[in-house]
Formats: sequence, structure tokens, C-alpha cells
Amino acid sequence: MEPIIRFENVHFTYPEGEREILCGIDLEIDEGSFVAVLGHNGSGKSTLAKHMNAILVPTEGRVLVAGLDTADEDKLLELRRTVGMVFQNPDNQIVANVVEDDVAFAPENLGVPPKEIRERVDAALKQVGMYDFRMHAPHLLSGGQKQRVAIAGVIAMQPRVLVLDEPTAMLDPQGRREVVQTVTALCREKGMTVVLITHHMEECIGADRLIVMSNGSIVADGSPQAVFSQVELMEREGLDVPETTRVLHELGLPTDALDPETCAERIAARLR
Amino acid sequence: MLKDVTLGQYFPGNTVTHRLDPRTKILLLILLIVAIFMAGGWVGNGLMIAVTAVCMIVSRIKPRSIFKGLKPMLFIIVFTSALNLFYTEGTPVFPGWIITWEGLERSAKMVLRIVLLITDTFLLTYTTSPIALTDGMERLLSPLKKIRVPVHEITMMISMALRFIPTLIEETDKIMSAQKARGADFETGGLVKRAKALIPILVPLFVSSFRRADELAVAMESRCYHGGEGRTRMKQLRFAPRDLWALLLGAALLAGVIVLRQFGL
Amino acid sequence: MSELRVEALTHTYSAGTPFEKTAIENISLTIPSGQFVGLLGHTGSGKSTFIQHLNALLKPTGGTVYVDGEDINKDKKSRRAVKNKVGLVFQYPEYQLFEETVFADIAFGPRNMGLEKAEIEQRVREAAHFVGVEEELMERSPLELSGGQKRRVAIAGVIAMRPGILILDEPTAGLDPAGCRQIMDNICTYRRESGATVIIVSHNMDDAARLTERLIVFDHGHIAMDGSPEEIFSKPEKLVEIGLAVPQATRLAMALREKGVALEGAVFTHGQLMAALKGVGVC
Repeated sequence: MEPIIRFENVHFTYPEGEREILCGIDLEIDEGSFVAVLGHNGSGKSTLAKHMNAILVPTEGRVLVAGLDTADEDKLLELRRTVGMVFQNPDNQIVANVVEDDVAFAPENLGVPPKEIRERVDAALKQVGMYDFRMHAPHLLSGGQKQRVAIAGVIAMQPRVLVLDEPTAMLDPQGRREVVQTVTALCREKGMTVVLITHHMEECIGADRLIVMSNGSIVADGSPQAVFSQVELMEREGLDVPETTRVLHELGLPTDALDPETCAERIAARLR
Repeated sequence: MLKDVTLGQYFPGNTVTHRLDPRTKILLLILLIVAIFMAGGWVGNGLMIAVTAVCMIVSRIKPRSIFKGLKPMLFIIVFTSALNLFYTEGTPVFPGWIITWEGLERSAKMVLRIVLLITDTFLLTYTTSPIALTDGMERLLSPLKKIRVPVHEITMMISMALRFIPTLIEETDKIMSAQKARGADFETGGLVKRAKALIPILVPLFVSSFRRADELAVAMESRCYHGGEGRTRMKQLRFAPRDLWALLLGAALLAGVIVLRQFGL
Repeated sequence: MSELRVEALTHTYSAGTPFEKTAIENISLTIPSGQFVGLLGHTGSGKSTFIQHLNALLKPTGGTVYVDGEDINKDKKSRRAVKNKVGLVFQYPEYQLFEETVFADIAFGPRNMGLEKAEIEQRVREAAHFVGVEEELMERSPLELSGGQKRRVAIAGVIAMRPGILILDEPTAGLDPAGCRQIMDNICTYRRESGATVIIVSHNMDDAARLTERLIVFDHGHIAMDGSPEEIFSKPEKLVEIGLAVPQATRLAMALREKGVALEGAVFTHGQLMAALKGVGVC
């Protein structure tokens, strides 16, 4: 199967910048997968995300999304409806004073017939669990709720890929859980490709694949179990490792159990 | 404190006023404003008070919300009334006083006009969502597109401004608290000192507003915004019989006020 | 180095309107001089309202706050004076930076205190040192700095007032793990060297458990738990009941105990977990 996103030797430097932000990224993402990208600030993970819907275009190499070259300006609209993007600050991406009007914004821009917009808006709000709030004013919602409205506003475009650029950085633990659960459900139930950029390692545990970025390059790529078990590498990158992995690692046990229950099972088995 | 500002607020509801087409409501407001200024005598003014009161009852808007909205305007109201009170010639209330009976009447009418004007405007914004409001404006102004007035862009900007008013108020509150915690003093000193004291609030507010604008533009583009061309609307505006009735009533009111004025009432 | 005493503190927002909401109710506690306290609780549990009372930014609708035995709301003068004794660092404090240079911004607080120029200069350098802001950054514009640097400059702006009580509302929010560690280290250094009382509001259970001496858990405007980390995490079920996360080590210890592994004592750090595992002969 053709990957939905393909990076071919992508380099990127800001026009006025000296330092290269992306240094030759080669990456393929399969349709329907849940990919988490982890890295410290300045590792290039946000820049990577912004290449996926042509907010930025490579200075060298190319990015293909569903066969579209992101540098092709004639296909920009088609590209952006294929890749939905959710950003860090929910306040700065909500455009309307009423939740449902905000969710309608993208389909309205696309010229979707009014009746269909209504259906899409209702479906999107139900999907993120915010249907009961459709008449509310966004500024009175909690951070997690706002971010779910932002997600609804993007999936109302019916994109194939959902890219989230540190969507949980400004949220409390409750809001973080809400967002991660919502995107996980979108991937598992609707088959949407999800790319989640984050610096919270616990949000990567449920992903199919975990990519670690550092200084503009990919330094680890694999299942979350496989990546986290490289404890020394993660520490060198200034990233956290789940306590479960750390304990198993120090006990010299296989580090393939991320959730506490399975991990406890392993340790208990060793005692017997 | 700042959170009490009700400018641009919308109270969702399902009254007749809420259901009227926003275009009708904008036109009605214009009719009402003209009528307020046409009302000369106390009968005409009384009629306008009655009409506004009926509108409030029908829309289920509580007087308290109107008072809250009027508070920031208090200065303007007091100022105009004082001006009329002291600078109108006529018969003094007491011999030798600067205040005249004519001044009292004019001042009272002026205050009444301003209060009615603001109240009626609030009735529109309280019962109409900003999106519907700007949508209505865009439609009403659309003939201007022919002479290349960027109607869509203007109404889009208005609706964005309305959207961000509560966000910016909240932010101003936060910055003020933070600077107060660092010992900033906004309450004492002369005019110059107080103006200077605003710098620690205004600079962060501007900086963050620019950042917001930047991020918002990227987010809007990511959601396929490319101007008004080819845009559809989820909520279609449709004139219903009630809109016709409402406009007819509004026109009749204006005509009535003009007739009353002829008779000096 | 100040003592804080709160008696029957209550705050009701928009009292007498339909929007009336009691954020905190009848809170009483004493925090002795020099203690390191963590405040835990959901968003909306009342902890933000609580801390804004401690330097008189909010006026109690009931109850009294004493700093070093004095009622901080006694009159206008005491409401102002307490700002110099109790430093409050808000969430995302970098959004308050406004001066043209880092130096001037850190100096804003001391300037408002009406200090001598030489004294201000000394305090600014000292505060910058505590948070690891290098000398060469002092003349730069705060807007040019990275996110983590801005945050540290903003914290320095409060530290420069040499508060006897330093309160920080989620100082690490939005930072990456390396940034979080650095900020927490800075705060610990400040506390060690100045002897100040430090109160930190945090969502990060691992940090709160590892660094503080006392944890106070807010729930629905009341104090639900109050004690040393050992005491709090010996009843992790109660935290879970309130809906708060527990440290990862505690979580794993709970799972192990359920599986019949009899771990000894309270477990809330990696070290304790490994020690407890050793105790039952796992390694």
C-alpha cells in the first residue's frame, strides 16, 4: 500500500535562519496508523508537523501527501482538506463565538451545501463528545473541551490525516486525557491517520509507532515498547521513560510491558 | 471587574426576537434609532419607552443585563446631561440659578435618548449571535461589493473582533494581576503616573495579540479559509412572514412618531 | 522566611448574583517558616483562588490571612506591603514580560519597592543567578529568548523582590522534560539558599512527591488531604478517588500489591520502589 505521507530527504532552514531545522528526513507514514512524535523543544518536531500540510515547504527534498506534492501551490486547498491540523493553543484556532458555528467554519470555506454542513458539524461534535455543548460560547469551556472543539472543527473537513502539533502542552492532566482518548478513538474507529506531536511520553504509550526527534533528525523509530526500552538513548535526549520500562530495565527483564498491570505481572512471575 | 463588560455578548434563546432574521433586526434597529431621534415631545418619548420595554419582555432580556451594559457608558451619559443642564438658556428653576427648566427637560430627554439607544442596540446583540449578525450585515451590504467595497473582509474582521473580546479581557485581567503581584500600582498618582503604569499591561497585551493573530491566520488557512469566494453558510438566512410583520410594525412606529412630532407631542 | 496562617478563609465570586460561586470554603491552615509545600487538585478545585489570597490580590469574602502574625487585609498599606513579602508567580509568567531588556524586567519588582539603585542591581544579579540566566542575556530583549529562558526571567522578576514566601502556580506548565527539571532545580536552589517558604501548585505528581515536605490536596474548595508525601501516598486510593493521578512508582506499586507482592512502606519515587522490590527479594 502506498504510504499516505512520504518525506524524501527533506531539509529545511528558515529564510533568515542559519541553523538547519530539519536535516534530511526520510519518513513514510501508513494510512490508518497512529504515530507519535516525541522530542525536546527545538528538536524539529513541530517543523516536521508543519511540513505535512504545507504551512512550511522543504528547502530541499520533497513531501508527498496522498500523492500531492506539498510545494504545488495549485493543489494547496486539496492538500489542506486532506490533512487537518490542530495547534497548541486552543484559543487561537477557534474563530466563532458559538461552538457549532466554529465547527462549521472549514466546510463553509470549502463550499459544502448547507444541509451537508449541518450533518458534518453534528457528526464531528458527537465524535469528540461535545455535541451537548454545541450552543455554548467557546471561551467558557475548559482547555480540554476547547481543544476537542478544535479537533471537531478539523474533522468536519473529513480529512484523511489528522496532525496535532503539541495539542496537550497547555492542558491539565484531565484535558490531556480527553484529547488523547479522542484522537485514539478517531484512529481506531474511523481509520483516520493520526500524527501526534508531544513531549509527554505517557501520551505515546497507545500509539502504533513512536518517532523520536533530536536536532532535526530522527534518532529512534519503532513501536513504543521498542523505543522506550532504549533507556540510555532517551535519557541522553533529555526525555522521560515510563517508570514501568525503567523498573523492568533495571531488573534485567524484557521491557515490553508499558502498562502497570502487565509490568506488575512480569515482576510477580519472577518472584514465584 | 473587567469580566463584567457585556459588550458583544450573546444570550442564546428561542424567543420571537431570537428567531427573527438578523437582517430584519438590523433594519429594525435603524428604524428604532431614527424614531428615537424623531420623538420630540413626552408622548413620543413615552411611546419609545413603551416599545423598548415590550421588546425587552418579548426577548426575555432582564433589566439587570441592560444595566450592566449601561455601566461603562455612565460617564458619557452624565457628561451629556450635565452639558445640557448647565448650558441651556431659559427660565431659572430658582431665581439666580444657572439651571433652567428648559435645561432640565432637555437634559432629561438627552439621557433618555442615549439610554434607549444603547438599550435597543443591546437588544440586538443580546438576541443575535455574532455570526448571524455579521452574516446579516454582509448580506445587507452586499450591493456595495459592486463598487469594490470588501464587504466580506470587513464583516469577517468584525466577527473576529467580537470573538476575541472575551479572550483579551481575560488576558488583561491576568496580566494586571501578575504585575500587581510585582508591586505595580494602578490606583494612585497623577494622570501621567497612571498612564505610565499602563505600559506593563499594554506591552504584553500587544505582544500576545500579535502572536494570536499570527497563529489564528495559520489556523484559518489550515482550515481552508481563502476569502469569501465560493463560501457557503451552514445557517441560511430566510425571510419568514414574521420578518415582514416586524418591519411593518417598525415602519408604522416611525410614522406614528413623526405624526406626533407634527402635533408637538 | 515568613510564616503563613490562614483562618476560616472563604471566597465567593459574584456574591449576590445568579452567577454566585463559592470557590473555597472555610480553609484553615498554618505553613511554618521555611516549609516546602505542594498544592494539588483539579483545575477548578479552588487552589488558584486560594493562592491569590495569600498576597492580597483577592480579598477574602470571609476569614483572615496572617503573614508573620499580621492581618494582610488590615488596611490599604498592609495590602500593598504584603506584595513584597509574598511573591506570586502566575501560570505562564513569561506573558508578563514587557521591558526592553531582561535586566530592566527583572528590576521591575524591586523598583516598585522603591529601593536604591545599587540595591536593585545587586538583587537583579542575584535573582538571575538563582534561575541560571547568564550575564550576556541581561541586555537582550526578553522577547528574543527561548520559551524556557523567558519563563526563568519571569520567575527571577519575582525572586528579585526577595519574598519570604514564594508561591508558584504550575511553574513547569508547557515545558519539555528538560525545561521542567531545570525550573524545579532553580526553585530548590532558591529555597535552600534563601530559606524561604515555598508553595508550589503542580499537576506533576512525580515532582510534587519527590521534592516537597508537605502536600495539601484541594477538592471542591475544601482541603481533602494534608500531610507529608509519605502520609499522602500511603493512601493512594484516596487520591485516585478524588480523580488525581498518583506518581508512576506509586501506580506500579499498587499494581504489584494487587498481584500479591507485599511491598513495604509508602512508595512514590523510583528509588523507593527499587528498594521495596529489593526488600521482597526481587533483585
